[in-house]
Amino acid sequence: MSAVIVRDEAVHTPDAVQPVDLGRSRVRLADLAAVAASAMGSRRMRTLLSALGVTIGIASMVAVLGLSESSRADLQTQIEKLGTNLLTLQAGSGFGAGDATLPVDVTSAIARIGPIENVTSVVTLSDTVLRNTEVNADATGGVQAVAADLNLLDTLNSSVADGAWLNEATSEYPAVVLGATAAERLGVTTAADGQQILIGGKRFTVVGILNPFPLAADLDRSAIIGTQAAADYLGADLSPSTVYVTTVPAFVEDVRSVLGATADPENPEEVEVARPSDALEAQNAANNAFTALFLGLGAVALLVGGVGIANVMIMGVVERRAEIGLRRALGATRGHIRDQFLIESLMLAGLGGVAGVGLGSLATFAYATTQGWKTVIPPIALAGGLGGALIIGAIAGLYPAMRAAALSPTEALRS
Amino acid sequence: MTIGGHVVSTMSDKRLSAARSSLIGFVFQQFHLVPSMTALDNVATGLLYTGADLTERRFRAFEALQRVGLAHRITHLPTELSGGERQRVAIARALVNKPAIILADEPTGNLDSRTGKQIMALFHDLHAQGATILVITHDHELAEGLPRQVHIRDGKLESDSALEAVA
Repeated sequence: MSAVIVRDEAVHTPDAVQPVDLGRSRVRLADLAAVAASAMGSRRMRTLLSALGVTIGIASMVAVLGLSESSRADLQTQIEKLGTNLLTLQAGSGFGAGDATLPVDVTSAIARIGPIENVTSVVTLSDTVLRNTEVNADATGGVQAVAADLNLLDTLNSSVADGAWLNEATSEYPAVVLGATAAERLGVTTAADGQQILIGGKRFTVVGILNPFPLAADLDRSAIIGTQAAADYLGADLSPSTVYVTTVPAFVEDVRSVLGATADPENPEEVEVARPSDALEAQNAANNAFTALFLGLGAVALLVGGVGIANVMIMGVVERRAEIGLRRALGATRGHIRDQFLIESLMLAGLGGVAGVGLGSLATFAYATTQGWKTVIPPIALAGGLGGALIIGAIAGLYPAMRAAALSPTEALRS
Repeated sequence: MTIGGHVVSTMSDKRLSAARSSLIGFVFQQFHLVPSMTALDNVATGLLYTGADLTERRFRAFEALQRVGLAHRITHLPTELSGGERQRVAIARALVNKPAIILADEPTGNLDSRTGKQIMALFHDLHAQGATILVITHDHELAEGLPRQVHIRDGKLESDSALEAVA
């Protein structure tokens, strides 16, 4: 057939000596995208299944990021609600016998520091707490007796679950308020029926049960009485064992630095000053470690999804040899064919990415809602999810696209 | 071998593609229509790689379908068309960019003889209107009916009726 073209002075090629202008093969990007979309549309099940791999990968990554961010935000609000401005003072173990105590008048000394909001002290008593006279005197269940100032609840942001907190009157009488854990261990479920327990062999009437303390777990295991009652009925020494201080938020560190010297000017190094919210911050950091692990698992899923897309694309190239040959015969360059398949792969992965971001956000919302958290999805997770999907799509599509571009127009002649 | 004054063996892929797009129309034995596209859009595909926009492609596709006598079938899908009609759509697609030459590879190979005759009649009509059509076939009877025959065996030229006429 070649000879014919040479010799035939065709009507449409008027001048064979002067080469005719061939122009250029051109195709609009939108048209290529439409071709790719219609190819995906004609193989719906395969399209959905291959996009599903990417969807799962992206969804898990978005969900992991969203959940860790939501839980972090929740922890953060919790920390802020509790107050990062709470400091505790404890008598450290001194150089001597280890029985260092804080001065009795420590709270009034601390109250003189300028940016203080609240200061309250707790005295740990050595007296045992028992349910009644029948039980073994050693079976305290870890419940300790403490004497506390009346402003304890305000300072520690805690509240009463049942009954009432101590007041001016009851703090002088044999009345006791139980921490949440203490009440449970002593088998006291209500403060209403005037139940009595034994502290140091003396009967104390339960007048209230507290909710758990967010930042002072020790107090949950405590039976709390008034300082006056502790002195009058138990003959206790009223040197505070722990002092809780809340400061004006901006001055936490300033107060922290002077607290030791203020509390015990003679032995400031024997006073241990701590900030309980540091523990929650540490928990925050620990959560981040898990996030990295799960993020890695999500990335593996995404990679597997990418392999799935590459697989489907290669299958598509083999099946569509005739179509590719036809397009080449119609004037598509190798570049046009390559672009068409790359676009298809990008669209597949993009579809998976969009679905994944949606699904991941939905999962985050659902889980955060059941946990009572506010849903927080970092924008970087959304952008990164889509971007990651597209990168995977580009990589997965590259080899199949090159293979498609290498096919010749004669593929269309095969039956 | 040259096409339109260009030496094929030295042409880059881009220029070869440009030549296919602007100078040559292809008609295949198996038609190679896209099943999910209407006749009109199948023909418009013939202009996809010219960079023309969809409106222009469809307009010119309609003209081409008119030329092959299928103006009444433009919205039909390939599956809704007979074999002969499908081949007409394929021919319209080859025609749509007004190529210098149309290459038809066994264009009647998948058609019954009556429909095949109609297709050949269409080729004669188009030829009469000025189109150059090259039909590749093993069917000697079909070849006899064409104005010029070139015999090729194993890639070698054996005879050319035009040259013999001169001699």
